[in-house]
Amino acid sequence: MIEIKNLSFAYSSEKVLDGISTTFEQGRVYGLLGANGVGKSTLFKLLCGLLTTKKGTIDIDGYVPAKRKPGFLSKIFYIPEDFEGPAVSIKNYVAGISAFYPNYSEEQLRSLLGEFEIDINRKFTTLSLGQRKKAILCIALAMNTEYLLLDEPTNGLDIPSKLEFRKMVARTMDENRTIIISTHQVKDVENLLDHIMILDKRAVLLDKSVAGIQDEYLFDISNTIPEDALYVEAGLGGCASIRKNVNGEESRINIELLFNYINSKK
Amino acid sequence: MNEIFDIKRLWKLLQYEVVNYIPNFFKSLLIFASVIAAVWIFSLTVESDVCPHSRDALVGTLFILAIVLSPFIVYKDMNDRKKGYIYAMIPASTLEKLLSMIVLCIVIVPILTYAVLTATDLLLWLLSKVGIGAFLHMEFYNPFTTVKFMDDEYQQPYIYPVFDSIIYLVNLIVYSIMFNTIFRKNKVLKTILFNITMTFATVIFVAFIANITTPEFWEDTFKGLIEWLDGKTDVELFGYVITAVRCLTILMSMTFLSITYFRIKKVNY
Repeated sequence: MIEIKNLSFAYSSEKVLDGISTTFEQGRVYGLLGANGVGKSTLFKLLCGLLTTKKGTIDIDGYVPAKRKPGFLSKIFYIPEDFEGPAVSIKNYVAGISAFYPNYSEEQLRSLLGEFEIDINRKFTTLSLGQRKKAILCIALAMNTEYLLLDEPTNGLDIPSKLEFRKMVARTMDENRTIIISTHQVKDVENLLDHIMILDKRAVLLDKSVAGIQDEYLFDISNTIPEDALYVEAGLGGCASIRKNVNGEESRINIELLFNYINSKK
Repeated sequence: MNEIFDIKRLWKLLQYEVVNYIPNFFKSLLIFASVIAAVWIFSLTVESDVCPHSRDALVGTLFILAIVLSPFIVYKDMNDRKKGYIYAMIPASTLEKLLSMIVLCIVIVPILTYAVLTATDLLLWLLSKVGIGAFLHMEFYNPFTTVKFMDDEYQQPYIYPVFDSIIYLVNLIVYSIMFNTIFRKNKVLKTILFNITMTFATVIFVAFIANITTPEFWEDTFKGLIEWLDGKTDVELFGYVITAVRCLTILMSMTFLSITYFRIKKVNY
């Protein structure tokens, strides 16, 4: 489990995170949402130990990430938004790095790469951005680490690949794994998520399971604006609204609408 | 799990680094090899021969240049804000990462460099069939030979041993390793500028001290030392100087490595 307490971080004089507290539990796929510059990527780097906390604590299964202990690093795999890759072939990179991850599956990697039609003998440097992203996603999933942090994983992927990505994540997910996806492309991942966290510089604005959100709010599209609407957005298809779910009705979460609603309240 | 040192993990890290980093360094070595070829072609065009001493000096100089630059090439991206995360997230301890860096830069890279450069020279000799002797002498630069020098002056040979060559070369490499972890961009240029600045600062400092003191001041200050020095022969004194330089070199290398260790441990991305 990841436990964050009163976490603050600043780049020089620019404060990015200020007193954030939250937990990430195992067996869940988290969607980490937030406006540009609120510190989603910074939070990922802090969780990986790539940055050192200025104030507050992060505890991941008893490890302090910033100490970058081997036992901790073998539990976690991180893909940044702008992954470039080393100047070697996928095969060589995996041959070296996989030795550090006890749950790595070669068979799984080959199968995943096959689904994305990526040749394992290709060098990262000869792949397009989308192909590089697909390759590292396959590698990350095949390492079977307990924690997987994906920063904008669908950026650069074509439409069929986004579908493949969703299938892959769903298939490789299990109760021992925690996947945190930071994205602005919420439509690409909304069916995957079972927990949504909306981040602001100074607070976690929303930290709820998808089921909890569905219990609390009702998402609807209609031609008229409902009287009891908490938030409304007019569009070509009608008025998308959020209401309190007083009758326990079921509805499909509109994450973009939810994000805008939560941000409008702050 | 031992979080500080595990020999199996170190071995895995070495394998990873050899596979991922050495091919890139090998490409750079080909540039050094092409310099040898260019010099051969130039010499054959101008003089129809290649002087064996020039071959020695050329290969020796390129060898030293290549191994001193090697940390900047092999571990180029290790602290890069964008690409360095791959290195930082390799599940190995800081000590293992430092040891692997030492093995790669002090053992594997010099052997590879020596092999490529001498093989290039040999190949060129075989192709052109000129020059005196097939193999290089590499006396001064080769740490596996002993060189006699100063014998004319002191009538007693001072053997420049294997140990000295190795510690001086290692010190140079470790110095590069340290600056490679300190600077993030334009590493070689910044290292050269740092050296120039330090040299100027030292010269100015020494000049300043010399300006405000007199020879008598030094005599008074180090009277005991001067008396002790007076009782020694030149050869004895030279021995003391050599020992002091050796100790200082080893101390400097240890300091550079300690700085590198903490830099690897604390670097943020």
